[in-house]
Amino acid sequence: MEQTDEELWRAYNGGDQKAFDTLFNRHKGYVFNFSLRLLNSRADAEDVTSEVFLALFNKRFTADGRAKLTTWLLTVARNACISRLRSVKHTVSLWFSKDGEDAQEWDIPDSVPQPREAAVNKENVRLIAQALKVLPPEQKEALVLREYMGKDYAEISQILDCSLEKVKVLIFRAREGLRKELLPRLKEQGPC
Amino acid sequence: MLSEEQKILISAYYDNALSETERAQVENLLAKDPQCRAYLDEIKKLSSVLPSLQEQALSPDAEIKIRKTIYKESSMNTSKLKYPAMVLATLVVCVLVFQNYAHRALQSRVRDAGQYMTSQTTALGQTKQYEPYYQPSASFNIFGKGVQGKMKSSSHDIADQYSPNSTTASRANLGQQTTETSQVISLANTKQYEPYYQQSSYNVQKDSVDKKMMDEGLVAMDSAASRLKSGYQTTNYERAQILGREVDGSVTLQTTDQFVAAGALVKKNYPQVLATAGISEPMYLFHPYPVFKNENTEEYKSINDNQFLTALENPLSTFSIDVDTASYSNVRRFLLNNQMPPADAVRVEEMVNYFSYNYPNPKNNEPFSITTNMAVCPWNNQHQLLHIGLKGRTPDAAQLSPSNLVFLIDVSGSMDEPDKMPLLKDSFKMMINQLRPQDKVSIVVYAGNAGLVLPPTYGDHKEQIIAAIDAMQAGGSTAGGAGMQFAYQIAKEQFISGGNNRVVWATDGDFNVGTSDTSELVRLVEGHRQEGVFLTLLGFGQGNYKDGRMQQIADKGNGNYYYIDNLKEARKVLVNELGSVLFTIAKDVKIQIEFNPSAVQSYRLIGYEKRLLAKEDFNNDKKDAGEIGAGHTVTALYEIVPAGVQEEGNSVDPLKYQKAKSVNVSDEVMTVKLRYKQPNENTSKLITRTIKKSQITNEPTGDFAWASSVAEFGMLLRNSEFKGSATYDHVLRTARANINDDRFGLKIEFITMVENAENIAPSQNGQMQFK
Repeated sequence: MEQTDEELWRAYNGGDQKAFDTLFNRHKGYVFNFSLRLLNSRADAEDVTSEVFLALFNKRFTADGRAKLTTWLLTVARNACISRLRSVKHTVSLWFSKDGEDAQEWDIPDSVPQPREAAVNKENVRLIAQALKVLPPEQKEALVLREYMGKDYAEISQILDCSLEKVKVLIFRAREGLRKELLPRLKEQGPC
Repeated sequence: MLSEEQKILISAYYDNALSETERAQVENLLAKDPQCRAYLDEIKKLSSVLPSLQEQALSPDAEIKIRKTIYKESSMNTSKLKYPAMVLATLVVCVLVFQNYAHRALQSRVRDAGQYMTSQTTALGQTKQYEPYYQPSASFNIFGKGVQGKMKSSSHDIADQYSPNSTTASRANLGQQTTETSQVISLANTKQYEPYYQQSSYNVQKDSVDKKMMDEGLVAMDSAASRLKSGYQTTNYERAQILGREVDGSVTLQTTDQFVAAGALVKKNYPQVLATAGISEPMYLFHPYPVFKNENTEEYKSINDNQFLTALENPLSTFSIDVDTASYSNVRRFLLNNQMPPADAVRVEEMVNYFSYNYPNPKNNEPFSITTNMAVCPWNNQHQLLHIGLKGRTPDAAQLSPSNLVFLIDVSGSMDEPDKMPLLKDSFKMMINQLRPQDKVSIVVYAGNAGLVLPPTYGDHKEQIIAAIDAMQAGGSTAGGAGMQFAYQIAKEQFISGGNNRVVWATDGDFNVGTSDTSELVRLVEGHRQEGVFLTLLGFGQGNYKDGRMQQIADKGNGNYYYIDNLKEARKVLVNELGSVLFTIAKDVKIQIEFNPSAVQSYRLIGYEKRLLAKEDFNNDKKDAGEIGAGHTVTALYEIVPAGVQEEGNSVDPLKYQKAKSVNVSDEVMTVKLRYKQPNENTSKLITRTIKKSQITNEPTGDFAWASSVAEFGMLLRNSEFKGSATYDHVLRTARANINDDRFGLKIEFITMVENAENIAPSQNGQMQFK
């Protein structure tokens, strides 16, 4: 039977280094993708992933049994992302323009057989990425947690450290933004 | 047009995040209004297109880089001698940077250099930052000069508390450093990476300095500081960075306790900073990582360690035995979760009594045997340790009287947790499989009301009993008082005279309807004690656990009390030790010791703080005391200051109006007296033992040694003022050397707990205590 996160965590605390490895392999993609969606930069998302697992490795997860490890991982990742997003603004003014650097962070699937569909798909992915990028950070976090990470409202409120009502409004606003900006621009795709 | 509220509701409806009434409201709306349906369709469409932005794989290169970082950082963090290496590395960077920049004599370049350096130290320690003396002060202006200065001195305070030696970094340590860090932790189980600071020259390449990291720390600090100042909601992560920035290089805040301490210190010394920022919560203020603590409403009664009493003035020490073990499993739950247990959750005697000891079986039809030992005290070589061990008789299974058991089970909403109801069901099923045909079981459940879900059923109808257990579901409020009365009523109706009549009560201790006052419940239980019904309390769950209440109720109800944190513990209590849990062989067991002042100057009973009795109570058969079960072992330890030892700060001037009492000098150190009653009798019997000086050994051995190591551990966890030279390390050494018989793996588990505690304890010498 597969061990749960909490069991692995306990095993790791008992000195089993392999348990940490298992946890890392199990959740690396999860944390990385969450950060990537928030930051839109592979390099930054990798750094955040590394930060999150370093925290885990240093045993900073202090569960009292109610907190799920995955929730904790996302909370740490989210905090790290916020501080990174804030620093980026200053980086631009202090150092050099980052123009072109995060132009294309998403691998666009290009192995689709029909060229037209591929092109449409590629265009749509670009539009989605673009639309997500311009969402206000809080709304983006909430929406990503809901739509991509599949979290329920209670967990989102825990991760974002806000009320359930606020989660409702954040997700609604994010959807409004996307609905107005994204949906009309999407190219119709043929049946897949 | 749809209103915004309606849209919000539809959006939440789509995510299935509405209450029943809201749901009905939206469904109603959807049925009537095509606009609503269109809106919902758009949300659905959005949801269906978003996934085309697919998940990305972490590239192998990146993964290796991450593993490398984790390994590198952690080997720095685990190394005890990281400070010298870091200081040196910083110096090297400094030199390099100056070589490159100083001669250009451009102020902006010098500023760059300063930031380079800062960033490099960030890369090294993550939590540790050095502030170069030429650091542009602009970034601190936000705080204003006064506050900055104060924050600084607070950081020095913290520095003093955490790492008294770290500022005296010396080059001489470097050779040692290299060997230390070469003990690599194999993290990835594929490769091992050499940390870059191990390279012989300790050069740090300029190119490897990550500009982004350099900037990040500064900027995050800047913005967080201004936010904190302006009252803007900051994340803990940002606050931690402020603190990290303000704290000088000699501090590394790492553990939760350290951050808590730092937060408390800032709160104490600089309340105006926090007031400006609108922060009132001192705990976890600066912890960069989320600590899900706020839900914890566990309750413990405070315990004050027993003091040393002089044998001349207090020759008699009287206490009731305690066979409970709940404190141990509760403490274990904390430690295995990598948290220090609250000091009041640690009851040393319950920890010691968690283990069964190999005391000799009783002879001559006595209900138990008494073993006494004395040796030099392991945590204070001036003192001695007295060990008293009792072992209950184990009657043959056939001789055991039939049982009338009433299971009283809490099925209220608070029990609806994975670690409560499911565990409870499995635990009871294990116990039911142990029942004999002549035993009968009734089950009373309570939530808002109490009800009988299983009428009295004999032990040969196990399926029926198990089916009733399976059918239980948690939900509703908690009328603990009503449930208890009902259960006792059933127990009385089914009473087997001469049998084992017992209520087995499983709960998390949280009542909120009807009688919920602890003293009220205690009175209720006390009333039924007279009727010959015993009580077993099984505690479940965490986060809202009411330990103090449970212990008090069990204590007064001729009861025993266990905390079930997992199935293994359930097996220990309800299968392996079921006999001692359910079958009482002696009740109201009291111990009184008379010390001989010619041999004993003063003494201290370790643990049993809640079980102390007045000396008159010993011979008073009306006074309730602890029960001992079949085959049960009970252990008590006394720390003794032998006569003639000079104790500091403990002297009292000789009395002026009283004659010094005459003392009967003899070879006897003390007399141990013990009173007990047969389970169905009301007059007590007496057993006495004397201990002679010649019996004192150099150090505890065997069971005595194990018990002493558990007590030592308990005192460390409580940070007891009497812990003397006790260390986790010493506990580990003693425990490892005395595992002997460990059939159920309990002793190995104990060792793991000690190791965990050693890792997460605030500091070995217990300086860090912020309350």
